[in-house]
Amino acid sequence: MWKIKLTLEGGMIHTLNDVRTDSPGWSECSPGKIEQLNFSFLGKDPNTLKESQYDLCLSGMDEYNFFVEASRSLLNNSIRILGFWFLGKILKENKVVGFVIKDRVFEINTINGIEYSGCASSGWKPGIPNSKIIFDIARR
Amino acid sequence: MSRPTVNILVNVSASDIACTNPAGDSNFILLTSGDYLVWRDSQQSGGDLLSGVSYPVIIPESSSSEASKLFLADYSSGEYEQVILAGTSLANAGGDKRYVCSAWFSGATSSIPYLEAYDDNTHATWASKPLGEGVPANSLFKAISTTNAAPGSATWEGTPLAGTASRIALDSGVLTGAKYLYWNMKHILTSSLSAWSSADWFNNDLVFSIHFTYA
Repeated sequence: MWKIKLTLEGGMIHTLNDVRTDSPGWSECSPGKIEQLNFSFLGKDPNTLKESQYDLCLSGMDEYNFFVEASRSLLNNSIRILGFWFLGKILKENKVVGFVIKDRVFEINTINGIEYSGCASSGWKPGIPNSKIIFDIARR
Repeated sequence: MSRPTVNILVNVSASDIACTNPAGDSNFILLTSGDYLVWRDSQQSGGDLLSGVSYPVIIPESSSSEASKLFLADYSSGEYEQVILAGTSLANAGGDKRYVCSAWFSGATSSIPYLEAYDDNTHATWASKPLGEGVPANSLFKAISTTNAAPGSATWEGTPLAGTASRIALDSGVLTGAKYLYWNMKHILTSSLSAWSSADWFNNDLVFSIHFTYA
């Protein structure tokens, strides 16, 4: 839970750190080609308000990216986490898809290069593109 | 790229020179717990006690004006420390000044850091009167990024600050390592303020923030 699980070329699984910590581990990992990205998290069902586990999945992408969006008040040394971004790039369609987990979940489906509030993001890692593209969140 | 440390510093000297130490140096003071930023009238001076007389900014009878002086209210010393170079030449000693306010990042980011303003510490909304009440162009706070160059004019216009709707990029690209980012800022006063409630005048919840990403 709260950790990114990467399925790499050949089927090897690589699990990163808890994304809520100071060191999520995405930028430090050099995993080779990514076949699939999975992320499990707790969230409330908007209808029942019951807490459930959700599984995010990105697969079939040309490239993958993840980052934490944060805000630091000038007058307060605390840093507030605003969201977790999970992105996949589909080069043949020149677009970026994925999800942002904040107090709600937002779907991203935009032109490549403006995926983060109108700007490009850095830190992309290579994927294994295929025709079966998946970007989905399911309740377990 | 773990989460970088972000230190906020203000230049309290009359020298327009870069910061040399993320913990503060002979010109820059590191903002710490209990400190806050406040604009005051020209009668307020650096070294005045926070517990002493305060001289609030004055609302113009017509049109608009720029608040005279920006201060760091230094909790540890109990004194006002003037950010002397803040604002334009219409303020006390501002102008085409580059090294005024700084955010020091200890490491890389995944996106360009932005300076933003919010209603409160949830960093989620910008609907209050001082931030334009839904019209970002009407925000009373304006800033200009000076990381890579001085404003270019002693009467620089700046960008209104209102959440993510109107903000300034503090650099031209993502940070690849430790770096000082700089900006100058000013507070605009308009005659329409006279119609506000005192609660809106003395809004203590407003937050300036540095918005960034890491991975």
